[in-house]
Amino acid sequence: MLLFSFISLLGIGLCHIYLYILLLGQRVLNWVAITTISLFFIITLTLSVSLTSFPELNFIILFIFLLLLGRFYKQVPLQHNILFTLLSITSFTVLKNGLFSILLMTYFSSSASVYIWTSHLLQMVSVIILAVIIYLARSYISDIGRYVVKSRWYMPTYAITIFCSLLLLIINYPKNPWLAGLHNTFASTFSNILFIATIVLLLMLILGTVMSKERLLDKLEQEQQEQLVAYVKKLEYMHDELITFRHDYLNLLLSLEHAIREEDMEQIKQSYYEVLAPTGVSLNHIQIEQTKLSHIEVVELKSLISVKLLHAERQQIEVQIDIPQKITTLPLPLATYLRIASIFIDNAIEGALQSSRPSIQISLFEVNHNHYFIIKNSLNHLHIDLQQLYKKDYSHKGDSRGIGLYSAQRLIKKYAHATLMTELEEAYFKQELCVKNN
Amino acid sequence: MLLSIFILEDQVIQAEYMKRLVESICSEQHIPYQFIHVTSRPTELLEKISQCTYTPIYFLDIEIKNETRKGLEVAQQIRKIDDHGIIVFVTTHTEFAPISYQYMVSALTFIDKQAEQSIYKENIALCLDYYAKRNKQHEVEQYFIVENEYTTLKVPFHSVEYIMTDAPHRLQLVTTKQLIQYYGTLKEMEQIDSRLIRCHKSYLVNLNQIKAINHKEQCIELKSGKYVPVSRRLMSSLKLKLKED
Repeated sequence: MLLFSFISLLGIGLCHIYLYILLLGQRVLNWVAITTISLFFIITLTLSVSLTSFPELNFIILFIFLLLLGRFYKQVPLQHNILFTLLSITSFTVLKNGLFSILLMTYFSSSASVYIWTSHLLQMVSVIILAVIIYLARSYISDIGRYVVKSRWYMPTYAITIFCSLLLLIINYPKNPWLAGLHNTFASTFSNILFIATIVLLLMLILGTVMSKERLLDKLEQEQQEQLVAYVKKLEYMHDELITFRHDYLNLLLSLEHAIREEDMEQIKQSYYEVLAPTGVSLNHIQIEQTKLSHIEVVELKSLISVKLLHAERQQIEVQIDIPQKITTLPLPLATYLRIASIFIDNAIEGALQSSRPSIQISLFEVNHNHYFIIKNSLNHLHIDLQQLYKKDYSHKGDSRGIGLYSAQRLIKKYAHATLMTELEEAYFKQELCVKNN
Repeated sequence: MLLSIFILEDQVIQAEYMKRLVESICSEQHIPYQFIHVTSRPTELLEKISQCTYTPIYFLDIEIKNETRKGLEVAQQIRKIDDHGIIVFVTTHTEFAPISYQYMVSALTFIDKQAEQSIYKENIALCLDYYAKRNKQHEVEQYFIVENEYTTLKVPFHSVEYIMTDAPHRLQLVTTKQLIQYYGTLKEMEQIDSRLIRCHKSYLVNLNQIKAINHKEQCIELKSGKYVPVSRRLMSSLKLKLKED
């Protein structure tokens, strides 16, 4: 019997903490740390409640404890922190009690024999069942934590959570005289109200999460659409420039032909140099490179690289685009690929700017089912520690802006088929992302 | 063991220049060759491949007859017939030489034909030297090769310094001038080459790169100046393996 109680207690502590952390968004968890923290917490709690015999302390200590844990784990604004704490405490407690009641009733209505330890066993079973459910739903719970703070249902959710917490405080046999009075009068009604309120709360959470997600997705799509429109406009502009150039060029050639017929050397010289001068100005090298992007049929990637090229052009960096085949699909999820490409190109531009002859080269192609994205930039720094480059705060620009490469590396690490090769030679720095397709 | 050397170049002066350089390198390095075939016509080159007794080396000009991609197409056609021959692209602007060419036909490298003579000659010499050596030694010894469903790596073994674990199932391979991050376990890497020694739970080091062992600081100093930690447990076995050489 004691064993069941102990396991239940441990399980309850663990679940409260686990649920809370999931809401915070921490997915990778150190189980050893959590178990030790739970044990410590339960001991503290049991001691304080048995010493002071104030069951309210259950709630209050748990609340403070989780709040502190949250500050320690991750920097989340205090109001979200409070919401998550209350949310995890109330939802878990109510669901556990609900599940326990159901199990108890089913058990009693069945013909199985009842022992002293049956209820303890059933408590334990309900805790275990809930723990498993929480584990299985962990990514959904993380999502709820992430999206509900941005959803329009935030305030109502907050209000109901506080309401439920107060009800819970009153229902759990408080010792404080004022609360005890409320308990005596309203305990059973409050229990029912609490149960309904929790269900409403859960529904609100789910709805809020789903709607918030959709809203954010819509925003992203709109941004991409705007980028696309900008790109098309640029293309049209370049096309017009090309037509004008051709026109001027042909005219100049005609005058050259005329001069040749007349065998007028001076005229020939003059026309020739007149051709050279405007050519240098109106047909920009960068614009030729932009047209090479037409091989990319993934529109979002094309517009991303195009925008970066414009950045580079404005800063007088020589760019070469090397995309020999049509690229129709990308081997990684679109957002991930775009983010990595963006980080690498930004990095290459910054690196090139510090060299004497700034230049970057972007290659994108597929060979033998391997997809390559390679970016090379000219360089000035000879002393770069390649491993340090990927650390969180490292930046050879001197200040702490170095989070880009660290983020890129984190994204790449998630995919077993992705290999990143970074090369540093005297005059250049090269990043090669290879994703193997099978 | 006679080498077969091909040069594809449409400008006569450039072609002759290259041929003379190749001849002088071969006589200086005592590299015997079967023939040096110079042509400006891809079809002629492709036909002659079948007459080679040994795997050839090809020096291909990328911009043949003002068609920028012709060199690459010839290389692809060569690859259909000859999968092992060494392809070297010769071009005017190496910093902008398209990297994709190199990967698509497994070309060895690019050579800048407008470089100063001594540099140009040295680059050609490096290719020929590599070619001669490769025909003698097994590839397995020369390279550290990882080939599985997640990644394909081929790095010259002498440049491998150490491999370390970075995260569960993610490794970092450090060479003299590169950092390669990929999926795998140290256990798998250990089995690829016996010259890689486990000196720490999270580190594999290349025996040939060890300069000194610092017993007090529990680390290894590599020839390049980098440091690799050694765990107490594996220190003795490391020293033993070093003595074996």
